[in-house]
Amino acid sequence: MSSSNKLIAEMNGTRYGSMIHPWLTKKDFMINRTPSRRDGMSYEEEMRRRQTGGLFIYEIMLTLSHGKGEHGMSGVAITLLHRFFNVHSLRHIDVRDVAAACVFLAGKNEDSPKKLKYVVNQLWQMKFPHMKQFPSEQVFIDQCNVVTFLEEMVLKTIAFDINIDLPHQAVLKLMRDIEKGRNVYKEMVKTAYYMASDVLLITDWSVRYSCAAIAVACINIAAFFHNINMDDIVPLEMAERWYKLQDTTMTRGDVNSMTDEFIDLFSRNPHLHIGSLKKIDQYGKVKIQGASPPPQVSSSTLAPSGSSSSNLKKIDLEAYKGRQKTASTGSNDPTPSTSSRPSFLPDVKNQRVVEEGLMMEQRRHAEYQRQQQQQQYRSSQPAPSSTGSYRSTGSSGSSSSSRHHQNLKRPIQPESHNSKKPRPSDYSIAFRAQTSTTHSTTTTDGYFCETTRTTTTTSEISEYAREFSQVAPPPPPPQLTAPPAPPPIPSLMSLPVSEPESAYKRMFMKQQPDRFVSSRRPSLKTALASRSSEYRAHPQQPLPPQQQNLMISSTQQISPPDESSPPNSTATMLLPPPPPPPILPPLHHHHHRGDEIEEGELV
Amino acid sequence: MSDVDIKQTLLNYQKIMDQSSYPYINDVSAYEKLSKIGQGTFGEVFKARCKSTGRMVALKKILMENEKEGFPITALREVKMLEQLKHQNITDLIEVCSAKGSSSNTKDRTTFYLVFAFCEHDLAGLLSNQKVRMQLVHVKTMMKHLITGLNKLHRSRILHRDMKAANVLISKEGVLKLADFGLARPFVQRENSAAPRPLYTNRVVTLWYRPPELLLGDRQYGTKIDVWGAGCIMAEMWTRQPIMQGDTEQRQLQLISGLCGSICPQVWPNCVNMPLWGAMIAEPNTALPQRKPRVLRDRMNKIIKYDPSDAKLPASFQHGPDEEAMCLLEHLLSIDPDKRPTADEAEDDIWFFKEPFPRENVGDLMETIPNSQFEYTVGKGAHAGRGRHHNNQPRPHQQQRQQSNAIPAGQYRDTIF
Repeated sequence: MSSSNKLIAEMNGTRYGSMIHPWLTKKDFMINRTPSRRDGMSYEEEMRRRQTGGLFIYEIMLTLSHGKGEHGMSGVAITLLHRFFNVHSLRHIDVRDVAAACVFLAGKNEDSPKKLKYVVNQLWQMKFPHMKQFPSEQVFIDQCNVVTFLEEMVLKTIAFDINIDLPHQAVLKLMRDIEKGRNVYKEMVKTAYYMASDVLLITDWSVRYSCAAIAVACINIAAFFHNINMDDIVPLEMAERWYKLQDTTMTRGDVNSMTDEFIDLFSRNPHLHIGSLKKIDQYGKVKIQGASPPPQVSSSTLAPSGSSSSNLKKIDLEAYKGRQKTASTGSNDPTPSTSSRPSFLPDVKNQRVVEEGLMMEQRRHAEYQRQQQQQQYRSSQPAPSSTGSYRSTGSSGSSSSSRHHQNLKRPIQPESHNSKKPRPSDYSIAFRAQTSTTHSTTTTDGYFCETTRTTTTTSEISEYAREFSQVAPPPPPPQLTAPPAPPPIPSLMSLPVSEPESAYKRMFMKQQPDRFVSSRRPSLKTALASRSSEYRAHPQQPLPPQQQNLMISSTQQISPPDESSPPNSTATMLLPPPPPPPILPPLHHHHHRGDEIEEGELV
Repeated sequence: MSDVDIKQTLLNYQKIMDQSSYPYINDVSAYEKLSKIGQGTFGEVFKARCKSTGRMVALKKILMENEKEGFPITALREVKMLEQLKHQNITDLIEVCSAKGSSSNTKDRTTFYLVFAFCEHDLAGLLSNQKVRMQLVHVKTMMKHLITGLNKLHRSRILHRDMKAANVLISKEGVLKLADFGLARPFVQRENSAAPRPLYTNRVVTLWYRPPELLLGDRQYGTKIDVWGAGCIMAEMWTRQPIMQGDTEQRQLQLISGLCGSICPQVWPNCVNMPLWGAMIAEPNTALPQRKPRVLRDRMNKIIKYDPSDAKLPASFQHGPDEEAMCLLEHLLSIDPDKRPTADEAEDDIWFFKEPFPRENVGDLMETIPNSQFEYTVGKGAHAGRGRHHNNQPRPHQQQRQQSNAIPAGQYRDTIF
């Protein structure tokens, strides 16, 4: 076991790191022998409460540091918390009180003390969100006393063992050793570094593994999410010992079990996706179980399904941040479709430049038509639905482009890193994208999550596909994590989207006669035609023929649903390289130009 | 939620915590208190004996009464630093003990004690005892220990900020130890960085050992302030009393000018940038007299002539400290902080590699000192912030260790970013 307390005596003379007392326990202890267990609390309940404490620390640190979050301090605080509850039972103690005391103490420990009144105030607001103020000064003083009392108790419990090592430096050092200064996997290191804080908060590793071990696990997990196999990038001479450079008791089994533990935790608990973990799964490698949508969707696509306004606000902000980065790489285009996540593969940049050129042209073309249409529609449209679709269209535009970037990378990956992924599946997906209609392409989103994790054979795929073609469209498949459609356009989700274009059109017109004005049709067709001709008119586009083929066909087929069912943004999932065509003209008919620019800035 | 609920919560917690066991911390009852040997702003100090091992310790009580912000950050810092600093020339924190504070019923709070390895003497007491005859080899050994400890401190990125003879302890074995980290703090070392250095409080270091840059209001000081203190202590080894005993900051600056020469841009180009330079130089009765010669060397030779113990000293010492020693002292007491050597450079000074070589310890010197020197009167240490009492008895060190009243207790914010 990597974390055996022996180490404390073995390394550095009498100490391991700066730990004085044997804090590191084994999983067996955590499951069977903690004080809470002796007090009759189940392991699950204890872990849930500890994680609550971790989330609490995360939240309180965010507020106390004005949104910055202080990695060192939250890491120290959670370590104190776990140590405390390895000595005391959770049963009769509110974990949040202890968490506040730990934050208070960690602030002093890290030499940036937080005022007691701020900590207590924050604690109060998070414990009793319905009460903004303290009912009386005496309550405030009592609450202060609770925190300071628990602070003393924490100190007493941990016996002033307050030089707490954190894994962050170990992450950097280990990667420096592995890369030998090449600094190629910058993004991965960044992920691992930022992850380290959040991992400490949601796991009990701070009392089970040395920080060197946690650093190794973070690197391995970050590599997993970046489609990198650590064994491929580790220099030959440290092939079987890169994970034990700093903590010599680490084994490959430890690394794997820690990784598995994290992935398991990550997939089962969307509510634990805090801080950097929200965006960690760039490639959608882990299928998230549970009610809420997968994290990679949440950053950009959640908007249509977001029920609360605060949710919307947060997401818009994130998408906005993503946009800024893209803009800095060279595009000054304020439209939402350029808002893509920064990509991790180098060759995408060139691609993006080409795309953006394309998009500009297309947009200029579409703009003209849109303006004409807007003039027509504004008079005929009812006002109330406008705000709802306002957001959803914007976000679908941005999400589709980000999707599209992911897609672009996918065919490249198997050659570079991921030998696991079978090529045939790519083809079959392409095939299905060509032949089937929007509905089946939507399902491939969930499908992708599957394939990246487990190797699937071609037969399974076809079976899978068949299954989906047989499923009656109206209730969308469950693992689509179907974001509940926003109020304005609920009927769209239940549309039988697998109909051919004409049938689809018919259905659509039947269901929403008021929204669909017949005069629009011809203009859309011309738009489509001009768009596809534009694609063909750019032979310099550096795409493999297979992709190009896919792109054209899917554009043609997907565009009709796109134009009418904006919230179903997964429909654009398979849209390949050229950015999702400016399908937007019909969608934006409620808004005039000024609105749209503003939207582009916002998203 | 009502008052009662929170109060009840607190009472519940107190009950639970009272019944819990604490496997890692010892109760103070593991030690048998022998006598109170010091009191200061930060707490009382007791001499005690470990009941199980018989080891002698010093118990320093952490006062919590006036704390509005929970556990005092200064004490937390001290514990944290001392836990990191395990070195033979730095005072050894054995552990932290707890005691249930059942004194008054007002606040039923825990009291914590820092448990230090007990040291028999402090340097100030030793020097003021004229019966203690020190030879050059003793001085050299003690200076070597002092600078080695200081170097360890600075390599660990910690400023001591209260260097003085009273804070230098000497164990029975004759090993010198730096003590009292009540004012110490970790510092950030940013070399080649355009970012401004953090500002620290300049109300540190006992006045007599305070370097010119602190007296001129510098708040971006570094390790060199401790080096100045080491220089003062080194000179004190021969003079047997603090070399510059000013009663005000102005007077202290005048004393420095009188001994080390004028503080002027010629010797210290950066001095004009000190916060108080402009105001002080403009004053009619300035604290910065110009055109004063540096008389340190002459004065040292003269003072040493008066040392009554020269009968026992080797021949080289009778003519004052040798050339290398004077050279090191001159360097340590440079007006310009940048010209002072770092502790690391000082540790490698040529003086330590010349005859007589520094020894492992000054145990032979300790053997000459009678052992019953602990006389304690309450309050002696408490008001001793500006210096120490000139009695001829070596005093117990701990009372001196508490004189950090340059900063009132509880003032923990001494960095302004």
